[in-house]
Amino acid sequence: MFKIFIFTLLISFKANGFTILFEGMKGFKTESIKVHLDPTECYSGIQEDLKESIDFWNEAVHTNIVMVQGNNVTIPQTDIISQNFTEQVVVGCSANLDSLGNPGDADLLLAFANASDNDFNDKHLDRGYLMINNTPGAKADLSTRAKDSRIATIAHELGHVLGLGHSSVRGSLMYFASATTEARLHQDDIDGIRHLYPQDELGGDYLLGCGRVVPPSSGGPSSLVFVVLLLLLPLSINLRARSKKYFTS
Amino acid sequence: MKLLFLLSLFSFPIFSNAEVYLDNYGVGYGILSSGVLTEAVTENGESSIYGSFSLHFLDANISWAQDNLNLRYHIKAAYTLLPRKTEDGAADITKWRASFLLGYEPKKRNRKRFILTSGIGFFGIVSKGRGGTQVLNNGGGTTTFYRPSDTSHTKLLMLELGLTHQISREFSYSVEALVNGLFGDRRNLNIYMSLNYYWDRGYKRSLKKAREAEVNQNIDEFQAGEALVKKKRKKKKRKKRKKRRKKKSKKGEEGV
Repeated sequence: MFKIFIFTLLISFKANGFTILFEGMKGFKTESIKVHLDPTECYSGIQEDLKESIDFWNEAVHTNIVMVQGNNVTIPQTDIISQNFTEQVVVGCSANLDSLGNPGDADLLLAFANASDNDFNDKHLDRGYLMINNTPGAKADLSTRAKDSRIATIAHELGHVLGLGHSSVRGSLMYFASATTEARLHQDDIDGIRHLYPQDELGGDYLLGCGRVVPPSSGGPSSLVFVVLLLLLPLSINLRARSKKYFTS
Repeated sequence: MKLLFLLSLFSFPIFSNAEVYLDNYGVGYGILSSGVLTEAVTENGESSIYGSFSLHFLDANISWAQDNLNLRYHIKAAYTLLPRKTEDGAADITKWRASFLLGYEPKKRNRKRFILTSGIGFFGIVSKGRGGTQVLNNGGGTTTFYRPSDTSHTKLLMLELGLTHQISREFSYSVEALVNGLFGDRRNLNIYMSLNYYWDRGYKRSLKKAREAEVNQNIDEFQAGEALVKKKRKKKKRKKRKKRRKKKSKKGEEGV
């Protein structure tokens, strides 16, 4: 058994290669993130693809991330890219992607996205966008791809909107040269999204929460009392058992 | 709601009449598999229904036993011995758990016995960012991306169901199913397997009890023996007195 123990100590593990968009960045602060669609130049079926991509991230375990689909909006594409809107996240499509960025983008980029901390400068994301390539005849026209590929691409870009950068781990959804044709969450993707949006089921408590200093709610026992009681419980059982023995001997 | 659930788990021994005593304490070495029966892709890039494994868990456990009801109360704590990390990794990830379990031990016929456990506990994941940057392909060129430099804490409640098999006086192995996200929408099944070593399996206590019983039995026997001897002596004395009286009365009759 000792030999096995030494052997397993020597095993190394694969990379956790997830990255984030900018230094010191944190995720969206709000409990849920609303994603609005501007369907102006989008292909039919975009609503369903977007919904499935959103559900994909919503199912990531150990995170508290919740994305919901908001109302459809109409925002000029240049405003979307410059994040000149009030909504949290806007998804748009372009039938002429080259006009928005560099020439040749329409043949290269299936979609692109970004997110930033615009409002409060507290390193929390507050706005993001996703632009889908729907340029007819272009090599990277997303609408011509299979459904699984479309969902994987949109989910990858939504990962950027949530704050994840590319990953060096081959096979992960956020892999920089992702040839993913099927959307699946890799352990690295889960590690990344969990780092930015950790789930805290004990949240709100002074001691049992995420280290946030939150005063206990009035009228009820504080979590400090609860922890002390819990630790004293086995001790009290033991003492009671001993005292019983003493009196009956 | 959570508070009541946890307190109720251990409150009833206080009100029961049966004796509760410290039964066992020990340490274990275990492995944890997260995301069992889901479609997550593991670190090797493969889909596995067995989940992704974390090795090198050190756990400590202590248990109390209650006579007459074959019940045990366990407190277990486990922590990752070695975090998941590599040279180009983004974060060091460690996991911990603390459990409060109720165990039921069917009447043992021999020393190799099974204990069924169930209970609730806390499960945590600490992701400590390593900082730094990474230049990766992005579209037609490259972009500098960042690794997180802060630490994030995930804390979850979990429900546990387990089975412990006592191989010998000192060793046992356990298989436990841990369900995370108990009160949330995203439940996740983990399997934890460990090999445990105990310092006091209750053997010393039972030995002490047996010795005490033996001593008590000897004392009882001695006292019973003493009482018997006393009785016999009394009987003898009575007989002697009777004989003397008879002799005296006979002598008296003869004299007359």
